[in-house]
Amino acid sequence: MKLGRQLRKLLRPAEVAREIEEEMQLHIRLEADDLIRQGVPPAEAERQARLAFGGVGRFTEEARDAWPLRWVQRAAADVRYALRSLRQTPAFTLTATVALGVAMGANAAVFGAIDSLALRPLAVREPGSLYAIYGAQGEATLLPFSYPTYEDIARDQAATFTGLVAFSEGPVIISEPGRDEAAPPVWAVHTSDNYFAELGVVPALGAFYRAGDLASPVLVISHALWTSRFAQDPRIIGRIVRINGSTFTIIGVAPAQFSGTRLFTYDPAVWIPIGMHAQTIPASAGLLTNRALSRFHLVGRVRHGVTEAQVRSSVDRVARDLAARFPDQYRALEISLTSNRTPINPWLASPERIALIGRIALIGCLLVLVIACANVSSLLIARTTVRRQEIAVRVSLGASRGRLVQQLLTESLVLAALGALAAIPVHYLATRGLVTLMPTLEYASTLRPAASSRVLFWGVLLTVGAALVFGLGPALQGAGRGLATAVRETAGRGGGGRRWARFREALVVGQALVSALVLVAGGLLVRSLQRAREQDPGFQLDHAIAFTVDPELSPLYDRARTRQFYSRLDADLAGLPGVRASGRALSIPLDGSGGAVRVLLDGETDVKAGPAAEFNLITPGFLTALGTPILEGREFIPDDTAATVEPVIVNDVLAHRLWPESSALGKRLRLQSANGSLLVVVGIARASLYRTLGERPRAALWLSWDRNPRSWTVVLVRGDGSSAGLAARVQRTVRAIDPSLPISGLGSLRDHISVAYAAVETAAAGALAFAGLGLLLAASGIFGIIAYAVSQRQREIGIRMALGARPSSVLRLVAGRALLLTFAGGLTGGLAVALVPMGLDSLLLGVTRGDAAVLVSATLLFGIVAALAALSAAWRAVRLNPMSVLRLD
Amino acid sequence: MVEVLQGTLDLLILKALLFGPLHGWGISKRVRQLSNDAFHVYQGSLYPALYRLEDKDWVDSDWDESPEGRRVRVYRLTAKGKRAFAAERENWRVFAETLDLVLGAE
Repeated sequence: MKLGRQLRKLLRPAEVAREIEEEMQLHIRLEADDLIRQGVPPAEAERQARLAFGGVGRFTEEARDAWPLRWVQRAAADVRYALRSLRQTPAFTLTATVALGVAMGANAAVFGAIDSLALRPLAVREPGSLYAIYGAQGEATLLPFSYPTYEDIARDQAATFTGLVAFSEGPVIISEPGRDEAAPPVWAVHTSDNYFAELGVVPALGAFYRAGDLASPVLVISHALWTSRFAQDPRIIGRIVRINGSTFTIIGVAPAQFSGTRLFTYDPAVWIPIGMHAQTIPASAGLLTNRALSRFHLVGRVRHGVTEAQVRSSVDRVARDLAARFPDQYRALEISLTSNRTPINPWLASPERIALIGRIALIGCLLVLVIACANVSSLLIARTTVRRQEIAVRVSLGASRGRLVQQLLTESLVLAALGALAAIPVHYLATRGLVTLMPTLEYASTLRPAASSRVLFWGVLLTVGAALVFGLGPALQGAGRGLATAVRETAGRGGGGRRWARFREALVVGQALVSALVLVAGGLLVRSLQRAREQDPGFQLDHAIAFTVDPELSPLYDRARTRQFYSRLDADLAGLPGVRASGRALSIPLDGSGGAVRVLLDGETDVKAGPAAEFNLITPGFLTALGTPILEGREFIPDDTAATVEPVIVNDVLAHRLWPESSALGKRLRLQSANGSLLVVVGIARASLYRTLGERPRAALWLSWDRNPRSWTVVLVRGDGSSAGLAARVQRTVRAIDPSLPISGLGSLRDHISVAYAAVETAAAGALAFAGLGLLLAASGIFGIIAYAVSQRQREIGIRMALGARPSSVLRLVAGRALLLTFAGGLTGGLAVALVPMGLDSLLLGVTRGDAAVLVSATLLFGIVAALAALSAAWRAVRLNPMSVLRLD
Repeated sequence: MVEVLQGTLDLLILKALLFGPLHGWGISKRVRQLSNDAFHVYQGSLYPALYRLEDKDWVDSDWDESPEGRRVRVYRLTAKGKRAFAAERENWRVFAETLDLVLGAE
């Protein structure tokens, strides 16, 4: 009843008001009738009744104010009023909306990207208690384990971890009986049977395999594969497919958010119990029993109540046990723990470093937002001051201070809402821009920032909060003065109060400081990334194409047929017109798939003492095709397969490290352990970059592919003409040998290693965008401040000009102080970057924080833009017509 | 004639309605009779007070037909209003006696 009544008041105010009026008129009528009955003449009775009642209008108004939901109507009126007054000043409204929209939208996009890369926890149960577990021996870190060792560690650590999962990754070919057998490979994760239960993932459809299913021919497919390959067919469960030729049953679909525990790696399309390795992983005999086959990544969930220190001491003990039991393989083994709360890729960068980059970018976001808010705030102050006259009229009509503050705050909220609306398209465009910057990878990558409503929501909330905080100052200023002051100031057009002038000036300085800081920091990042890109990788990037192939994924290929295929491929490619060199290898430098081995001098036994070296298998001609110069000795030749001592090629870094005094040629070494097979150095090649741009020179060595044949390989072809033409000819050549054999990733060498450049280019684009945003906001800020000063001092300027002041002195009058404050703030910001360490150092490459060229050019750019903004705003003052200004009041 | 103290109008309205439902003018008339016209109050100020009481759920109202065939809004005391009146009256008595005690010794 009560609620209904109030709703009616809210929804049908006119009807309710009519009833009140009716009731009061009736009251007067009845009172008059009563008086007439007592003998008063009708006209007089009417008059007396009205007098006794005391004014219908007044009491109607009072009655309305007694309504409890009155504030809703008042807020609605405030919003209407705010919209009307914003419409009257389109320039102001547009500037503020764009500033807020761009800041919010761009911020949300950058935050979204960082969130999806580094901050968003894994979509599993309690991701915080997950740790990745790797071995380390001396310089060699992030070593995977063998399956027997995994079982040992899992058994030993049962008190510390609720469970340990093991997984290995690689491509497989998935096909359906009777369908195209040359389907491209997809990325597969082979896991221990407790994988899904231990991680705590809930299937989107069907079920997952469980403990005991280790060797069941079942598989779980990713949500993406289910969508792309099976059109989200709800009857997918129970479907029979072939993986590398063997029959499997699909039992479940993983949720869309789950794509394994790794970052920057490929998106898993299928999960398979590791016991099925014989059917899916070529040449994987003994994978589960051979302690030498270290192919497994371990992830464990720490038990509740176990501290990280306890976990560390526990894994230290198991490392010592392993070293004691298998001194040959695990001499000096250490076990490292890495939090796997978020997707990680320790090979690329430690989670701490990724988090650091994320934090720095977030601080950048926040700073840009602060500038935007300060900007809008100073515009609002300017606006409030200009509107003193209007406010004075409202005060004299009886508006209370509270009502005025409420009104002005409503206006800044409406402004924030407009900004938020503008932020939505900006957010989507910026996100799309970021996505196009990401490299296209052979298998779909987890690297995909999505426009996220969660991110946008928080951004908007933050800005509305900021709008309230920054709007409050101007609002209080506007409503704070008494009626007399307001009227007097309107007449005099004096300065807006000393306190507020100070506040405004502090805003100008702070804004300039932050803008310059963002600009200089952005400039440093761009410069350092430019350096990284210009860096000579140590091989020839252009005029070469690459692709990968893995014949034994097909059931038609065995070791012998694979060898046949490769020898024909090598010969045909070499004979192709326009091809200058070609070769094959296990990986290409910078393509993100390299590995490392431990090197021992012949006769040495301490594994820990030997250096770690990048390891690769190559065919004769590969180094030539890559464009890596041979400094001494020679490349591999076909005859090397017959040599009694296996030949090895080392790079100059390793050669100098092992034999600083003499030539490495003819020297002998062993890999991994003292009884590894003996190798003799036949060539020394120049070092190149292997893993990341900007890395320190790494030791590397190459063994002969032909002596250690594999199924999977990357083929590199260097030739004349366009990459596309070369690629087409190469593809035809492969088809001519076996039309059913799929190849993947065919493209230029640059594309093949785009992963290495992608991070750098994304960061550079981000830094540039931030710097540009900071500059834009600083420019609009100073423009707003000076435009305000001009409008506020119109009368004074008019008088001065009427008295013959020169334009230059007028410019100085309106823009001088603001410009001076801006320069001071900007210079402080630039110097702050140079002098105060802010975590930036570790991101810079070939550039120092104090880099003079960047500092000077960024500060100069800032100064020029600020001066241009100031002049364009001040120009209005010079063009004022003195007579019309003086007539204004 | 005395000015009505802030808040006492509510009490007078509740008292007037204690004898049965009334329309606005009826309440006004009854208050004047009860007080022998001792209070000076604009009759119109009755209505904001009535709406406030209605929002507090102390009184309830319905549009009705008067004996003369006029459309009138009739107010009645709710159970909550009766309880509130008893409590308010007690408060008032304590207040009045206390004030009398303070001011009474001449």
